[in-house]
Amino acid sequence: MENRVFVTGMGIISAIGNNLEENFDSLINKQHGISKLDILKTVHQDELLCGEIKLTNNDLLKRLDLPESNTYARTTLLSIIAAKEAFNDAGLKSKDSARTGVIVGTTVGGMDKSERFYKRLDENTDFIQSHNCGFTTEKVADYLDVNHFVTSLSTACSSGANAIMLGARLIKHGILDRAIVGGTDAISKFTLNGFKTLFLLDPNPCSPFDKDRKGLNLGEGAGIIVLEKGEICKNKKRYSEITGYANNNDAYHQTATSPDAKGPYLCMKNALEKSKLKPQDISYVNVHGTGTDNNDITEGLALEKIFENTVPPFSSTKAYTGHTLGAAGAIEAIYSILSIENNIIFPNLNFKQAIPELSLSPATVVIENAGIENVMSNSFGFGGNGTTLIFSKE
Amino acid sequence: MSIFINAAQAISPQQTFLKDQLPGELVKYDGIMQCILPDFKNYFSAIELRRMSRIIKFSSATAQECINEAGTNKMDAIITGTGLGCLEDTEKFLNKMLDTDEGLLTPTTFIQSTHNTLGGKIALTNNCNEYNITYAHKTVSFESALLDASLLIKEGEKNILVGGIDEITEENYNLRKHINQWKEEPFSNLDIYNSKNSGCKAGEGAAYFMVSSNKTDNSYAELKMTDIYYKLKNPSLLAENFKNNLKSKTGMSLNDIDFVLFGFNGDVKSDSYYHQIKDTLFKDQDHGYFKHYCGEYDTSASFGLWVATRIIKNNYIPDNILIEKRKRKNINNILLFNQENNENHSFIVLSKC
Amino acid sequence: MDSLIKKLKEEIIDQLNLEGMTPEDINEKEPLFGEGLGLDSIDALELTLLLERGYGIKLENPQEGKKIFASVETMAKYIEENRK
Repeated sequence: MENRVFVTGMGIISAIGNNLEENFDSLINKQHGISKLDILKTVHQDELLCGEIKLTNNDLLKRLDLPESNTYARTTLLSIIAAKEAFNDAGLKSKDSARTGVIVGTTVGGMDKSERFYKRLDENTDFIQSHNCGFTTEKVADYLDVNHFVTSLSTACSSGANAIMLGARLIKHGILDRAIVGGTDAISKFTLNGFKTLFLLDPNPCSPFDKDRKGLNLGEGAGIIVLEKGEICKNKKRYSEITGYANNNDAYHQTATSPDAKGPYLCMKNALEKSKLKPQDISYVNVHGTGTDNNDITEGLALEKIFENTVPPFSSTKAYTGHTLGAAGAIEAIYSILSIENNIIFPNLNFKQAIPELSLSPATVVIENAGIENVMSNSFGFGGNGTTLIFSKE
Repeated sequence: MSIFINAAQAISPQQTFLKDQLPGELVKYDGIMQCILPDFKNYFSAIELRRMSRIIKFSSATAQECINEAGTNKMDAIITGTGLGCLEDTEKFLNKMLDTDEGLLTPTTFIQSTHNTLGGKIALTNNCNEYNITYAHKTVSFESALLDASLLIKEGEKNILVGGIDEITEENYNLRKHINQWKEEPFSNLDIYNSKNSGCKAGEGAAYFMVSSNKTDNSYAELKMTDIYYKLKNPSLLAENFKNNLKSKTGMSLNDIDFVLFGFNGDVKSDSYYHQIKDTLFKDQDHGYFKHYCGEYDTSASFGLWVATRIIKNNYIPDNILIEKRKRKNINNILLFNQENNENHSFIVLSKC
Repeated sequence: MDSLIKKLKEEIIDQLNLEGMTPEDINEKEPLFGEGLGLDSIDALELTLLLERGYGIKLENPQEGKKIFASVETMAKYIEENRK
């Protein structure tokens, strides 16, 4: 008999809030976090809008009581902020007897620091160590004093979701009792310019699933959740149960989704199978919905196929936060869990007209008393990577 | 539930590609250790090659030969481990961006800089829509992938391609000189075991394995256990954990292990932790090492596993692997033990099948 | 025009890293994408950059590229007409 896995703690920092409460307030008040860049210095300062967190690295260090001189990249700092909140939210103490793991996903690790010091070795060589993805996860583990099981993954924009899936599986297999899992990424010039070369950035606030969508806004943040096996969290607050997950590959193109959206379809189908739920059991889908031409139409087609044209209410929350890359899967998992916790559906901002090829439109207003039982969260990324997670009300 | 290794291929700085035996003679490197590459035109068309960086080429070629050896490209998952991913493409995009002050840039190196390009490319080539994950956690990137593959077999999957891949570039090599990661040149890879100073040899490679729920006539070994520990700094605590897990997961005791393959890399401080374990826990076993073959890189343990597959299948340890004279007659169970400065310890146990 | 076509072929081979190909291997009338040379959307973006960097022609909308990059010949024609 597999262990059941519950979410017992959450922590988040994004452009719409520095903690869980602020994020929730912004979501229900339709307060987006898309703005010009103030913290990151780039030649594209005036032309691009992003979901930037308006705290400097020193502000973040202060919040963590870490000395100013330390070597952490912004990606690392964001993940520690979120992990600390999740850890406290779950009422955890360091060094209890539960076998605990830390698993974090990120796309480019400490790139925000590497790109500043790469050509200026005389000023700082710390970035050579902080560049790799594992550095961030280890710093989270060190901060929380977890020393048993630590690993990281990097699967582009589905990284955060895949970290959650691995944590759940390790608990189900009895290898871990508890997993502190999620994703993190800071905005970097590297990713900003990268998406720019692909013509995937919308110069205006992005409008996912809109007919006239022009692309995405890059964002930054971290989302960390605490997963625990049923037996060790009987007497504490359990937000929801993770009941389904699947990862599939579209195997079509390095950046574009196949016209028939095979990968996205398969991961939704397989996650449903894993959860033993039927499509009609899903009350809300937090879609990947980046606002790019290719993503939204293919994800829409996959939704129509899986739900056989009775698609449940869905929305992309990326118009709030921007696309937070490696963090997106985890941040949106948290929004999905908040949806269950508060019985609410968050709106898809900036939507005006449906995509002509699709017969579906996202939720555009806050829907309260939405009868939420099971929520699906999608994450897709470069390399054809696609992951679906399903969270269920207990 | 048993887990078998049915195919194993590696491209490395030695003559290892498509070889059934370990080489008797090793190639000597005084500096950086880069892979001996096959002619990629035998594997990919010009139009395919246009976008493939060196690591994508040697990763993909190794994966294809592993798939050929396994005799099936119907994989239920492709799982890769890579510490730094597509380094050359990352550096290219980063340099161009910095040199032009975020000027006119092209997308190809950016989109290929992601760690999961390697696994994605194999999925693309083999039309594989299944589970596809990439681990990137320093020296346990590959072991995380292997552990995930074991979980999938227990979940009912049949054939899983698992790989460990990293590349070294001149630029990264020079960069890491600044943090004293390497041996001062010239230093021969053949001298790492007797090294008395700090630093290791920079290496690279790709090793792929078909991990399967079914034994075949060609199976190399049974994979009994994959364990990782982040920071069990106290050697006796580490030993205790390993012993307990070995017992509970495989039913074996320490004495059942015949041969231990250590990740000695020439850095005298990091290697001292191997010596401690070797001289206390494994006094009665045969001992070997492998990084004089491949150099040190985040996924070098994947090459260690490739070495172990050859040793267990041939029941033979070449002299260039052995640390001291053989004590045991047969090699029924091998332990591969890797770590870096007493962190990220990994234990992989293989048994004859 | 002929010299432009030859130059373009060389630039395409270089920009797209078509190792081992020569200008003679590319027929200027044949489609660059799909059945012809077999290029894809990423190559289109690389070619967009080639236009901008080499000829000072900036495409605002990547969709425009589809027609322009149909073949080497259409590309050359577009450059002749729009070169600054």
